[in-house]
Amino acid sequence: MGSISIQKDVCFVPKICPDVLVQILCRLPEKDLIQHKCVSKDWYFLISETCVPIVSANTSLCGLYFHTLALSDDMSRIQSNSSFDAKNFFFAELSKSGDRQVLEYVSLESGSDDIGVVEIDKHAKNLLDCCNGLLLFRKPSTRQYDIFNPTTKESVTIPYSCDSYCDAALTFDPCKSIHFKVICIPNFHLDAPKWLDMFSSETEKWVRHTLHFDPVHIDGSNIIKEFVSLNGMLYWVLASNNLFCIDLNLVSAHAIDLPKIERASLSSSIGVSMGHLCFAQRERSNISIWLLEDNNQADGWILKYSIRLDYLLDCLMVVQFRLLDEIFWFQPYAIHPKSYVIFLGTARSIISWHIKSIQFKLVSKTREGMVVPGSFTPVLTYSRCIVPLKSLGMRNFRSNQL
Amino acid sequence: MSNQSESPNPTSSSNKITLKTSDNEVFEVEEAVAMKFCTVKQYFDDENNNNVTSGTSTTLIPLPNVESHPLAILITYCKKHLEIKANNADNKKEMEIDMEHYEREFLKNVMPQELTELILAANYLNFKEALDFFCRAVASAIQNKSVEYVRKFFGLESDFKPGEEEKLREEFAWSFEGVDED
Repeated sequence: MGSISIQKDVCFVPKICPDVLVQILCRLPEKDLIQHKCVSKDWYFLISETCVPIVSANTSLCGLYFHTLALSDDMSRIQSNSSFDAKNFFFAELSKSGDRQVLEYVSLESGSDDIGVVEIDKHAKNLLDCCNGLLLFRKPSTRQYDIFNPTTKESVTIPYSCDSYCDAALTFDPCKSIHFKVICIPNFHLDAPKWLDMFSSETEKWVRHTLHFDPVHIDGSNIIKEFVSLNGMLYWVLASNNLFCIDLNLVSAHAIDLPKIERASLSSSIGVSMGHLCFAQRERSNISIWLLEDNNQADGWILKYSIRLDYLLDCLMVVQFRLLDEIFWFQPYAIHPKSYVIFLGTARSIISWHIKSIQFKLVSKTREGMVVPGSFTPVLTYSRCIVPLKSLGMRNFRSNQL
Repeated sequence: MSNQSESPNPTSSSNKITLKTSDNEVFEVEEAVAMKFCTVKQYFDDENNNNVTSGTSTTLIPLPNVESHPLAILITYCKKHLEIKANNADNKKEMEIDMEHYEREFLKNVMPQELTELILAANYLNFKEALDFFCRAVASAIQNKSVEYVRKFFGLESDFKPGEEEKLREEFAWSFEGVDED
C-alpha cells in the first residue's frame, strides 16, 4: 500500500479517541500491531484487549498440518487392485505407524507474507491437536504436554494429568478469552466411571470432572483423534457413530447420532464451517456435508450439500489429478473454517474443493513412496494467532502493575 | 467542482438537506450526499418518522461536533466518491483505480492537522468510506516504523517504568524483525 502516504515527520495531534485508534491499529500488519504494544501502557491494553480479538476474528486459514509416512517395501507393493488380505495388511500397518510418521505443513496463503512462514520440527511426532493458532504436542519422554505457537515461536509446557497417557484436546478462542484449556480424555469403558481432566491456563491447574451421561450404545473408543472446539463445546466422533459433545463450562456431556444417508459411512471429518459444526462424510456413492444447528441435538443436523462421488471424480479427472492409481481411499480430510471449501484427500494428495463452484486445487502431493495416512491421523487446519502465550496466558500484567 | 452524478431517482437528487455546523455555518447538500453520513441519515429518518406531515426539504440538521472546515472537505470527498461510483457503475476494478487515484491526490492537499479533524468529523458523522480511507492512510504512515517513530507521530511519551519496556520487547522479539529505523 505504498500509494497512500501522508507527509513524514509530523507530530500527529493526539486527540484521536480510542475507537478510531482501534480502527487505525487494526489495519496494521500483525507484526506492527504487536510491536506497538511497547508505545505506552494505554496502547498496550488497547491492543491486547481490543485490537487482538478483532484481528483474531478476521484471520483466515493459513495452512494445514498433516503427516506423511514412508512406505515399507511390503506396503509399497500393494495397490488399489490388490487382494482383500493385502489391503487389510496395508491398513493394519498404517494404523500402527504413528511413530514413523513425519509432520508436514503446507501453506495456503498466496504471496510472500513473511509472518506466514511456519517452522516446524519435522520429527515432532506427537501433534495431538491444533486450535486457533496453537498446537498441542505430547512429549512422552518427559511426560508433558507442549503448547506451541508457531507464529510467535513461544511454548508452554504442562505435566500429564494422570499416570497413564490419554488423548488430549486443546481449546482456545482468542476472540473470547486469552486463556487456553487442555482436555485430557480417557477411553470411556462401558462399566468404568467416566471422567475427564481439564487444565486451564488461567488457574494453571488440572481439575478432574466426573461426567454423567447415558452410557447406552456408546463405544468410547474414538478412531480418528480429531477434536473440534466451538462456542465452549468440545466435539469428537466415537466408534459407535455418535458425536460426543461436552459443554466445557458446565462440564456436562451428551452424545448424539451422526447423520446418515446411506447405511455404511466409510470415512468422515469434522470441523467448523462458517461458525457451525460441520460433518463431511464419504458414503458409498456420495460425499455429504452436514451442519449442526445450535441446539446440539441429533435433529439439528442440516444437510448442506451432497454430491455423487462418480460425478466428483469425473470433475477431478478433467482437471487431471490422475487419481485412479492412488484410490486406496478418497475422503474428506479437513474443513475450511471460513469459506465453503472442503479438503479431500487420497493416499497421496490433498485437494481443496470449493463446494459451490466445484473448483479443485491441488494443495499437496507426496513424493514417490510416501502416503498421507489421513484416514488414521487427522489433517489439522491452522490459522495464525498473535496472542503472546506467556505474558497473557500465564500471568496477568495488570495485577503486576505494569 | 460541478456535480454531474446522476441519481436513479430524480426526486431524491433535487431534495436538499441543510446542515448547521458548530461554528454556525449552514451547508445545503444534496440528499444523496447527506445520506452517506449515517448520523445525518439517522436524524433525518427519525424526524420523518416523528413528523410525517412536515416537508422534508425544510429540515435543518444541527451538527454540534463538526466544524465547517472539515465538513466542507468531507462533502467534496463524498461528492467525488459518488461521482466515481456512478461513472463506473458496471466496472468495480475501474472504480477502485479511479478512487485510489483521487485519494492519492486528496492526501497531497491535506495537512496532518487537518487529517485529525477529518477523522474526528468522519467518525462523528459515521461516514464509513471516508473513515476507512483516513484510517488506512494513517496506518500506512506508521506501517513498518519503529516504536519511537510512532510515539513521535502521535505525540506520545513512554510511561513504562525502567526495564519494563525492554522486557516487553524481549517478549515480542519475533515481531521486531525488519523494522525501518527512521
